[in-house]
Amino acid sequence: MALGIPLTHRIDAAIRRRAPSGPPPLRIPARRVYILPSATGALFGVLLVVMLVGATNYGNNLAFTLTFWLAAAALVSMHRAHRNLAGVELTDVRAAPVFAGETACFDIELASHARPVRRGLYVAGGATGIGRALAVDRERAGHASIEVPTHGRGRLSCPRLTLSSRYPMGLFRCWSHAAPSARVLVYPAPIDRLGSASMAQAGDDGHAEPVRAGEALFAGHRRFQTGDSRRRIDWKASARTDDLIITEHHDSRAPSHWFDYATLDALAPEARLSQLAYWVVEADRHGAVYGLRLPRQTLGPATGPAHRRDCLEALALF
Amino acid sequence: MAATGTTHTARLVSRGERLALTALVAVICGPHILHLPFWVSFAAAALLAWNVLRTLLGQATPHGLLRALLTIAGVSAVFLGFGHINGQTAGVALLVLMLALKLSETQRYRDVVIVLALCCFVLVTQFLFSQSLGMALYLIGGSWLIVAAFVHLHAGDDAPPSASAAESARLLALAIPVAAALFVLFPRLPGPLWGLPADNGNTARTGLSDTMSPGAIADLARSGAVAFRVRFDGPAPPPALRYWRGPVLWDYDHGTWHTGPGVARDIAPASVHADGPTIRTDITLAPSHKRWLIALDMPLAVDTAHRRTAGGNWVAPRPIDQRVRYIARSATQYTLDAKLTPAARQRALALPATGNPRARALAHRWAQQDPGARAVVHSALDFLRRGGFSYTLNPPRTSRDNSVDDFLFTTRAGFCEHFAGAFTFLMRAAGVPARVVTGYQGAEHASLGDYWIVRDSDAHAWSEVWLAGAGWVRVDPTAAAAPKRIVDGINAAIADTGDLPYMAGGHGRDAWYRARMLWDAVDAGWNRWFLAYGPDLQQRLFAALGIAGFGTAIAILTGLVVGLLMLVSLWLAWRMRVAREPDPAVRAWQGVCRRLARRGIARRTGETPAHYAERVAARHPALARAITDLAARYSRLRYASTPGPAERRDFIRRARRFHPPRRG
Repeated sequence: MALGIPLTHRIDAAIRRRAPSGPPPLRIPARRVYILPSATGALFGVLLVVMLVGATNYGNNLAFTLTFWLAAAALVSMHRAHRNLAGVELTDVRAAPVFAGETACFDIELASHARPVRRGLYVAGGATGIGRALAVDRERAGHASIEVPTHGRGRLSCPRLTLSSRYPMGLFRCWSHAAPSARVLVYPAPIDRLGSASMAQAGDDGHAEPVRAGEALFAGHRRFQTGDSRRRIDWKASARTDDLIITEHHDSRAPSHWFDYATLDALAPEARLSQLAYWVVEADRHGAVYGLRLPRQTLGPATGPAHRRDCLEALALF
Repeated sequence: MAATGTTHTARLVSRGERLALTALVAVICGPHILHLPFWVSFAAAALLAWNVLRTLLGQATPHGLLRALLTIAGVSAVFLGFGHINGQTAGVALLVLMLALKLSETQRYRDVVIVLALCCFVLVTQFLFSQSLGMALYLIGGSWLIVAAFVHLHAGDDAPPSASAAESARLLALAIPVAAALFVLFPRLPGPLWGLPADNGNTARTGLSDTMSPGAIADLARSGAVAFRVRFDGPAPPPALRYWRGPVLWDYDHGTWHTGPGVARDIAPASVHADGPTIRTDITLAPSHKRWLIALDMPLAVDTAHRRTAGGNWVAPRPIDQRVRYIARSATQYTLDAKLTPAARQRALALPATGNPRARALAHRWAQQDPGARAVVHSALDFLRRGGFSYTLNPPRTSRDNSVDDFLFTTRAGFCEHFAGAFTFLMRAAGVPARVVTGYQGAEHASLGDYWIVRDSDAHAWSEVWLAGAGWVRVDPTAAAAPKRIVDGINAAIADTGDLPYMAGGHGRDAWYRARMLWDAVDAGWNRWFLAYGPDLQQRLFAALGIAGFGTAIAILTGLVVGLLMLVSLWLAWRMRVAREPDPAVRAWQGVCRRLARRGIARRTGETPAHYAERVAARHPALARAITDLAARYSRLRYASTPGPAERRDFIRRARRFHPPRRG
């Protein structure tokens, strides 16, 4: 056993190295499909041996026929299992950005360009990845999602995927690996280290009123400008004029807030990024106009989902 | 389409799947109703019904204690009912009950696999009871269902049952060549490996026995079962010579004739000399669980036989538990044992000290009138011919120790065993060496096919007397009393034909009889080509093919199986090839993209032709005009409302001519 374990590891490593990799679409080549008997297959083998011994003992030709026929079907199923997986295509892998600590979800699309339906395909990935049985053919793509827990911010690569199938008879497990080069952006976890009043402190343009959700004060109207949130359009006021009118609140007068990395020197670097992420998320939730100031980068001031994404991406890749 | 997020092993069996599995078990166990006691079938059916009910009501698996109690109850019931749990029928009863019980706790993947494996096992036990053509059809259906269940279990949630059924049919169809190769070439070992259980299902069929008591052959004659089928190489011998030699009975004791201990091993095997042409016969014999290889009297050689007995018949190396097929050479004119050894003479004259005094007295009287053996034989035949004897399937009962006297002087009615037994007794009492030979007499020509059928109803017994200079000579005392028996068959000879089985009765060859004969032709082929294939025929086939021994056979088999599987693989690869695009215009555009990809600019997924052309033009300004033009034409073809055929042809021509120059 002492020799066996490193050997299996070496074989496994070799199999990993040979997994097709790169941007989707990735095709599973027939030569990269591995196949071994499953536990069910082993049980079936024992059953066949018992049946063969029984048939020999009784010299029973129908028993021989059944035994040989099932054995032959099992052998054919081995080839069928291999063909069921070979040539399957990973057409797309995508994932929406998540915050660190959340579970990233890679959506995998499988397709086949061959006529017969491929059934019972499982996709698994990562240590905790689980799959589900899929059927794909030329008309119908299969979708599986691989969930990967995230720990830190940054880019997270899609784990190496294992495509497997026991179809048709479950006597053989056939599998192949694929390493699609797809990545998901993991934002820093939004953690408020400085308490509820922190957002006010972060503002540096003299507006020191504390801002709390739902407490924004009416400050007047102005004309709609590109980039304004549609939620803030005052439809009644707009109906009286030819222009769209925006309701302005105290807290949303541009530039309302600047979130500056440099002001957070009391915190550790990762904690600073978490704090900034929290502010960005909160400010966006309130529809505020905000800017983000990082040591080599300044974003905004602006508002809206695109700005939020830019800010969080900058924080994630900081 | 919510992801279940479970692997196949953890998946719970759905309600529909449970019902389908129950139905499968019912179908697989069904034919056992014919062989199992009523209470076993009833208990199994009740368990299945209980399972259906619980599934429909959505009830959980029965409590472990209840299952354990039911298991114990099942085993105890089988033990009490059969007295043992390891015999064939008892084992099957236990298997069926345990399978029905296992079904009640089937929840997960593993349980289903075990139920399916047990189904395979139950299916194979069916064939211990019958190997008819009907069972062969049942084998096909059963395998199809079981494999379909295996497929459905692994096909995923969204697979329709019809797809699993079709896949099962495909798998089994592709498996046929490999299975056939295995069937023919896989080395068959002769004989039972551990012995057949006492209650072997085939014992229901009676055959010739190694003992003959009054009424034994009459019982056999009531069966219409086919004892063997035979093909003559050349013309069949005339009816009077259609005697089929079976066991030879030497010893007489208390009204019963028997072969004697060890099949008379103490006497040397008979020596036969053919005095006429030999007849070659090809015989397919039904399993008799005895070692006799029945052959036309007098058999000179039987190819699969082990040895010849002192009585001149041939025996197989072991009891015939499966249908066998062999070639026998016989001569109807022969000399059997021209010399009689003292041991054989002593045995052929032995009689018990007491019993049947009137028969002994009669025999002594004949011997005193003319001591010549031939004269004694004539006297006896004359007595039987004129004594008013009747030939019947239902003779009156005779006493055990004086059965010969009762038959000869009181009842005067009997079947062939009475005539043969009494005649042989008389001969021995008169000092003429004699013995009883059992076998069959007659043969019925099949209306379809060139073969003859010999049934249990043709079972017969006759005598042989040893005459100096002639050896053992067949004397059929039944023929003296009922001459029609020999030439026209039992149907013509006996009065009570209503007791005969239908097929032996003749019944004017009506439509039903013809239909039965048609079926017999099918059955004959099935027996001859399929069921009789065993170690002996395999050896003969190997010899004919020039295969030397099992080692070569295994090597050839391996090569054949690998080759056939490779063909399967090729076929699958052909089926699984990437489907060819039906539209030639699309194919032409794909060709352009492929050639460009080889130059290092692969088209991205979802990239429109125009975007792609822009990218290509940026990288290779020299190609700009051509590719932009092609892309524009292609877009027009694909997305414009009605492209003309001329436009299509033009595009295809241009696309095919497009060849980006090689770099470097």
